Amino acid sequence: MYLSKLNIFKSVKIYFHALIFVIFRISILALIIFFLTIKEGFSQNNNLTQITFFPVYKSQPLQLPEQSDTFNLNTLKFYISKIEFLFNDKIVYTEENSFHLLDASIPESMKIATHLSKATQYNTIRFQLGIDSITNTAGAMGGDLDPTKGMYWTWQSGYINFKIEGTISISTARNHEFQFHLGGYLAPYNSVQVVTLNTKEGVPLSIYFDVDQFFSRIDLAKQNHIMSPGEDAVELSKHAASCFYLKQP
Amino acid sequence: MRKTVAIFLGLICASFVASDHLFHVPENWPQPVYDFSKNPLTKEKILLGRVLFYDPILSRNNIISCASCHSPYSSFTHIDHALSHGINDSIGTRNSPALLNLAWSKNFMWDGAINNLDMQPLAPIAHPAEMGSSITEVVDKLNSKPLYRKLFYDAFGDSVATGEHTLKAFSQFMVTLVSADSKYDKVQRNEEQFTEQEKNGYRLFQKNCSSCHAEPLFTTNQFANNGLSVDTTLWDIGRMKITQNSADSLQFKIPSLRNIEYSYPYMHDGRFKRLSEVVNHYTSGIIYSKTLSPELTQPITLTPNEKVDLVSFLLTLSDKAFVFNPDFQYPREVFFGK
Repeated sequence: MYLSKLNIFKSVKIYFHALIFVIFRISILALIIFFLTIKEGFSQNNNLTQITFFPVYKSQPLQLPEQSDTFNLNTLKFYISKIEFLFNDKIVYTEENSFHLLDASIPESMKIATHLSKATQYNTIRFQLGIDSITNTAGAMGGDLDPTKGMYWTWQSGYINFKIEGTISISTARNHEFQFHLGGYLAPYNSVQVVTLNTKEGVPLSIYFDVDQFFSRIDLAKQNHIMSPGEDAVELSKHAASCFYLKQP
Repeated sequence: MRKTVAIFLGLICASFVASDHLFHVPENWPQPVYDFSKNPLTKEKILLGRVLFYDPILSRNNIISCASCHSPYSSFTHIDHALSHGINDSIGTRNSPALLNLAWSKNFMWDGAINNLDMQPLAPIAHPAEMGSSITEVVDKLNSKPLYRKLFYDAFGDSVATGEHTLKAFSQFMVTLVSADSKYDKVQRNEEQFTEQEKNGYRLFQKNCSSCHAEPLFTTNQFANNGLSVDTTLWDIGRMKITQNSADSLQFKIPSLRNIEYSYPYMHDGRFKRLSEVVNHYTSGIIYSKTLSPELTQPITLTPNEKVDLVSFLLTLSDKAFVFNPDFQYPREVFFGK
């Protein structure tokens, strides 16, 4: 009698363990499937709007490093933040935690995947070139805002919003270099700029940055570097913001 | 289920108690400026920050650490050196400040160039006359050391060092450098009493100095031109370099007077070796200029005895427990094992 009772206990225990084991396996499998679907959703979601930035030089797409006899472009990096889509002046989408470091030498970094459904109507895209003053004083941050990305000044706090470096034959600087590090968040020299572009719906969002136009306003024989916040940085930031355009088919 | 909830709640409470244990605001002090919610203190993060503070790996040639110019025994400054020293025997342009009560400071450096404690280490790491490296290079070096992989894992649950985590760990250690246990503090808490001389010095201090060196931090954390003659070998315009506003010309951060006994020489260029020289500057050395602090336009008059009394009060701001606090010292056990 005792024996049989013990056996029942034993078999119940074994069944119980087996059951737990099966449940455990199923839940792990479910988790794996769940993560796989999520990942696929992110990588292959065709229903979400993607923005791609292209630097253009002499009407040609620019590949970094761009090299010719008279002009070398080694660095073109800038921050795009606070992306918004509008329809007839009403905001229909605001990207959360919207900070993107775009580096023309890394094509992948020039693409921004938003969470805006393609079904949403819009006719304006608005973003900031640079980092706002609140984020500039908020302490250490990670991701694209990590200071190891080389877009943060050290001798004085603040993000470099826009960086362009290279050599050009007309520059009078050493080795014909030019270096423009545009930034600064303290009034009156806050250099962050708002860019507003109008678009038609259903058009893939390709935003171009015209490098020719950027240099058209600079007399590189006289001015070949800006490395700190101030009036010049603000002026050139405004100009840089005006060099973005959308190509309409 | 209930048990899990109870354990979870218990853990949350414990974490609050723990962080309260790691940092507390002394009685009658203002609330700190540093935003702890973005960087909650833990023992492991503070330790990582302390190890980084003492590790010369931060400099390009692995010779200079933060502690090279910020030694705990001098209240985290470099005594006897008017201007700070860096790699390859280079000499900087300013006196290294004492580090204390940093959680109450809104900006850093003599000209307030740095807007958040997290970002402060970037400056000496990158300065060619200090450590001559970069945060990118430092993070790469940290990631190649097994010691740091462990410390970063313990602190952040991720063995990979990032710029963000490195800087946050620094802040964790630096905010713990609280000095609030000097004789002055003990007198405020009715645990000790001033001597007659110190009492008179305190009265003179409150009358002549406290508008800028306000209690209990002994600074307003503002900028002021305190009437120093311009050193024509340095031409340091101070705060104006940052704001580009001529109204800020020759203004420098008002330093705390806590631990002033330990942190000589004095002023942004370390021009005064003794406290008596500092006091004499305020009574008879003020140079008038457009941006001179309004408080200093009327001369301060002190008799020789009053000067001695004032200095005797300033010496009550020395906090021995702070400079010898074992939690602030070189973490020998981490670098060399127990």
